[in-house]
Amino acid sequence: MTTQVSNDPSGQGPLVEVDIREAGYESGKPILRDVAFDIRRGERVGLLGPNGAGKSTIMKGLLGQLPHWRGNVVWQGRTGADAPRREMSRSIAYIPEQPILYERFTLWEHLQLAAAVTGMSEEELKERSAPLLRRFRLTHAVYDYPIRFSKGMQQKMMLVVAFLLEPELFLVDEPFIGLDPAAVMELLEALDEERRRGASVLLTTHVLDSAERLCDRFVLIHAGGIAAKGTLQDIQMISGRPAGTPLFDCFRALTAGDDRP
Amino acid sequence: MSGRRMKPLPLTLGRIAAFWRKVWKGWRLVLDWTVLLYLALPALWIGSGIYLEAMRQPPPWVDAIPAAAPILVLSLFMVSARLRTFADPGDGLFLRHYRGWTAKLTAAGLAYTLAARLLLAVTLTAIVYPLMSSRLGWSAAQSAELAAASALLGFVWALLRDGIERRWTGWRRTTANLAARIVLLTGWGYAAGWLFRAGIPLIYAVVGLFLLALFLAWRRIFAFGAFALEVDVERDAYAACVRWILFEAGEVVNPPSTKRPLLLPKPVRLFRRRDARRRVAELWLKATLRDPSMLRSLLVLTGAGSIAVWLTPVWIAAIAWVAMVLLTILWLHGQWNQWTTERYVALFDWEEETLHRGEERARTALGMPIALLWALLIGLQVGIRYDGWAWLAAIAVPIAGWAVVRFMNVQATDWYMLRARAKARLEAEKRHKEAEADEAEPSDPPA
Repeated sequence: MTTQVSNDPSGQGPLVEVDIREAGYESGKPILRDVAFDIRRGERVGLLGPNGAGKSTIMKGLLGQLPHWRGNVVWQGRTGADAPRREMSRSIAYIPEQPILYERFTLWEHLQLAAAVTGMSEEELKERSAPLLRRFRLTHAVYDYPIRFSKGMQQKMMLVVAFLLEPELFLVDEPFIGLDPAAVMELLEALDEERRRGASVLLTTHVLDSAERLCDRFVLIHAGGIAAKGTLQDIQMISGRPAGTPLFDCFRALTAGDDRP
Repeated sequence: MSGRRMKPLPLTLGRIAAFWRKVWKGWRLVLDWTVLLYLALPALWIGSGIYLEAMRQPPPWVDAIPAAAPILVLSLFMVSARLRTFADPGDGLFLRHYRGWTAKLTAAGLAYTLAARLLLAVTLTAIVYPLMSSRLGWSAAQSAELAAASALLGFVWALLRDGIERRWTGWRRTTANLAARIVLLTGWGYAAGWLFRAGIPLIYAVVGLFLLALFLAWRRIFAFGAFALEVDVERDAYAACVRWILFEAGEVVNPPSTKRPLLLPKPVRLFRRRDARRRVAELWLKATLRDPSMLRSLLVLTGAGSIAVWLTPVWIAAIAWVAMVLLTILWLHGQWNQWTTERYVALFDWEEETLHRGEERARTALGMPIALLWALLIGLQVGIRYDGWAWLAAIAVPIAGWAVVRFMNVQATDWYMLRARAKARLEAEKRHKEAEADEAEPSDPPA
């Protein structure tokens, strides 16, 4: 069952509307069915669900990396032949769960490539990267190979790359894994600043209490479909729990008795 | 549960067998019966024939080789050795907590390393022995002593290198490794050469090296903190055995051993103009020049091409030059394509112009010097053959070569762009048809 409570706190039209009828890695074996949600400007949406529910698959779908996809994406009100695909893909920054690195580039060269490919000038790169490198305490390692970094430092580098591009939408896959508490704080602060700039965030996480504090709305994915979506109050209502119930308990109530992956 | 108890020696033997089985499986990918029948066997047959002929009637330059040369030749092969222990990452879970096990596993690895050096030294000595005895005056006993001494030298080197690599990382490791290699080779070449020229049996060197090896091996067995290096050595050993066949498949990743790049660690502008295509080309060039396997390939290409144009008549050299430039463009295109599929590089949505014109710049920067060197050799050859005004060819041929390479490179880029566009159009049409067939409703894959 899919339940939705209409809510638009921002009062603005959605940045992106996603309507996936069927999607997956193999034809005839869909991972996702009837998944529809939207993300508004400056909004943080939590994509939550158990392992294997299809959260990362949704992100890959948005990045255009799924071989099988039936559905529709409306980007800033435009769709179909009118959809500015290039503009959309250039307006999204993806922060994967596992850092993606190139072993023969230094940290600075990773940033240089991101800047060159996205048309950022070298002056802009220097200007934008300096505060980010300071914020994530990577200035000392800027000419080192990230392949030799710790997992946390590698993840911080991915964050710097994403924030550097100043996208309109961040796709953040499990942002808290591998980061120390100070880096988590820095990430949250940086996301806040990005929100003030007008950027939106779609994030997946298993850390439900963090998601509860961080996100404006939630999309609960279960077994490839939507179990519930809306604000925390909406989720509480849908799960039949009283106001004030933590997201964790709502989540348990909505997925109880079903051991599907 | 089985009642059989695992012991260190059988475990190491099993791992040695598993390692070589794995390497053989890799090679089986390229060595099927057709390759064996039509390439490997004929090559072996022809190679054996050339070898036997060379042993029967050695080329005249053999007489110019110093009698002590085999000492240095063998030692050069020996200093590539590393200490093998066949450590498995899983050993860290519990095996490594038992000192007795660690010592026995290390001892078995030491025995393997020595045996491998001995096998290599004996094989190499046996191959060159006919020449050593007939032209350089080595007796059978001296040759056997040289093989034993070289094997022990290789073993000592493996232990010294292990010590260096456990002690240092990054550029310090690289520098110390190189310095130790030079010192050992010089010291050994001088000492063994002196013994040989003085007519003193090399058995004294064997005894000396044996005692040194015994001391170093004893220390190594009881060394602490060697596990991480042992695992790295095993990974590198497998990579070294299959790199040539699995390189294109991306199966063998050779991460940098240093914390920072040794080449161009800080931003250096290779191009004056700073548009996106040149900045991307610059990054590719840096990454390529930092990759030892790419550097090796470039050196082999340059060397083989130089020999090809130098040793052939001018008109054949000119044809060969054009063919080799084409091959270089093709090869560099393949390398660039492989780079653009690297996960980090593929994360971004590339402008077609940046992708293809960046590649063109990168190909020019890397391929042009090689092509100009070949052109210069052709020009010099013309000068040597025809003399006089013909020496102008040494300038004219590289200039003409530069123009031809530029033309070929631009044409290649245009062709690759056309092909990419046609491919993208076909894919879009295919997607469109699939979507239409799938359903009448609009279907639009994002991004």
